[in-house]
Amino acid sequence: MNLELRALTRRYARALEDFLGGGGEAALQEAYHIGREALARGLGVHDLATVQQGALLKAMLGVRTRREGTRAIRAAGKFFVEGLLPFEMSHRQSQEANAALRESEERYRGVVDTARDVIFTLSSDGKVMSLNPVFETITGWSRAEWIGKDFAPLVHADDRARAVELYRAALTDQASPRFEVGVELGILVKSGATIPGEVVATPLVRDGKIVGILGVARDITDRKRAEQALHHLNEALEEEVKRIAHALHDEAGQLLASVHIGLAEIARDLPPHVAQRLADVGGLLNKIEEQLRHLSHELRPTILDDLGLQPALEFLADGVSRRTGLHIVVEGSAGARLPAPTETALYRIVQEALTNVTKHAQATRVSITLTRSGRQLRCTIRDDGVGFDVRAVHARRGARGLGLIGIQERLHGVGGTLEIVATPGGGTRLIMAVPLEVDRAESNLAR
Amino acid sequence: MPIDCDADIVSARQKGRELASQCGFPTTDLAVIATAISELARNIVRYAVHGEVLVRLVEADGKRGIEVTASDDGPGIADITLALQDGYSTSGGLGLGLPGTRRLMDEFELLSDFGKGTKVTVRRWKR
Ligand SMILES: Nc1ncnc2c1ncn2[C@@H]1O[C@H](COP(=O)(O)OP(=O)(O)O)[C@@H](O)[C@H]1O
Ligand SMILES: Nc1ncnc2c1ncn2[C@@H]1O[C@H](COP(=O)(O)OP(=O)(O)O)[C@@H](O)[C@H]1O
Ligand SMILES: [Mg+2]
Ligand SMILES: [Mg+2]
Repeated sequence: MNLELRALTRRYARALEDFLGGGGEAALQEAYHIGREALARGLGVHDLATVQQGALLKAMLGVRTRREGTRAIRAAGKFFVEGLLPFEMSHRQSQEANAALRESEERYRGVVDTARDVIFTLSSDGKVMSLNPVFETITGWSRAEWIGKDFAPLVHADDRARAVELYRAALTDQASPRFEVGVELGILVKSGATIPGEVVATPLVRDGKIVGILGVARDITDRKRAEQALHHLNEALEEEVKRIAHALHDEAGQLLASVHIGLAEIARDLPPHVAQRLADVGGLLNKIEEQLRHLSHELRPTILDDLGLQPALEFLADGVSRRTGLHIVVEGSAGARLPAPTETALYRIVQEALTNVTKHAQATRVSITLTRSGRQLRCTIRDDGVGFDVRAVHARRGARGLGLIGIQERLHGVGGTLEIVATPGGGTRLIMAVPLEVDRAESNLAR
Repeated sequence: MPIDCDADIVSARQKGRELASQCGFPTTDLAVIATAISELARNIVRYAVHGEVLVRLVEADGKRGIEVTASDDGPGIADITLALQDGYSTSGGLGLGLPGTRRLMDEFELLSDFGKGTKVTVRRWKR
């Protein structure tokens, strides 16, 4: 018995003795106080039972007759009830809390059972602990086939390492921005096919300890299909842009040239002061020509094909700067020339990103940074504008723009990844990484 | 019964117990009633300094029971909802008195205007 209990036992024994000696209500009140104090110190009912036992033994030692013994035991019983009552007050409290908990668990169960996403829990050794009914609808497996089994075989072999990484990160509660918006994993279904899933995971906490993970997996087959469609759309768009750029540059350019010649002919037959005004018009025409050329180059920059990404981005930045007043710098270096699909993709991405800055950011400065390290090219586009809530935008359904999705899709096409760091009020950074020098056969660079 | 100090609490408990015992409540119920009186009277001594506790037998719908009223002209309770929450205490106490008493007894009424005192009425029916 520890010191605290021993002191309480002594006090309790004294009060019991008092009660046996006729102490009445005050002694009972003391028993009640002792119970209250035990509760306040975080002791339990079993501790109080120990105290009671000790005090009763002590009282029995002073007993000489059988009648005295019976009296002592009876009194001790009454005493014990007094001491327990504070516990009774809080005991019911925990019962009520339990009832509330059960109720909320039932409500939670209802949500889980009717959810359209797969909701699952995994133990700390990677076993499937629970799956909701929609798992069966989506995968064709019965839940019984997986409960208690290792989760890894459910994931396509190519994605298993990433799945394990996600699992470990959740299990150790390491919030990684990489995993925040979900990880795409191929899920093996019963028919033998693989369906694309997007998985998020958080630690499962019981009594302050992480006992596993709670995950949500969404079937993104439809989204994948939409992305595929977007991919084709991008390709078609690229063709169309090429056509328009040509029309602007060649056809409109030639027409303007003819206008120039026509004007020059007319000017010859006019008095000098009128010819001068015509020359002013010619100057305006020159400006239009210049702008048309710039626009056509921005649309489909021959500079990109001729000189590479960096000069093309500088050219683009210059044009956007002049139109919008944004201060745009292109920094760093992409090193040697990159594969054409990568250059085109990055050019279009920066174009879209700058459009977003113009439309949404209310920024004054933008920097575009290219850095090459080994087999990877990083491109960061940073603005000092209002920023945005990335999660909220990702979660938008229906009315969401195609810009960021398009950026994602283009990167995907060249094997790259995107990270968006943005906080409302704190500007926006798009950080992209594209692998270089990969075997062309294994990546889908063909475009 | 006036409540001014700890000794008054003891006599209030005793009166309550006697009355309940006359009414025929079982021993464990006597302890419950005494506990309710303790908690309410303690609050008077601690928060209002002075007040009173009234214990009487009551009858309703053929049931017999005991009613404890604790009233004072003290500072009153600023936020009753909070005061009835488990663990809420403005004095660093357990915050168990009001919610615990409410659970122990069959009926519980708390009237308090901030600045105008507090009145708690609780009842326990015989089963
Ligand atoms: N640089 C930025 N600064 C602030 N908000 C941005 C930025 N880029 C994107 N956004 C936010 O992200 C949303 C999605 O962008 P996007 O997919 O390009 O669609 P859209 O531009 O058509 O709205 C925008 O509506 C905007 O709220
Ligand atoms: N008679 C009273 N007069 C004023 N305030 C009171 C009175 N009784 C209770 N209170 C307030 O209600 C709170 C909760 O009371 P209670 O549940 O008994 O817990 P505790 O006494 O441990 O603080 C007290 O901290 C006090 O602020
Ligand atoms: Mg956009
Ligand atoms: Mg109290």
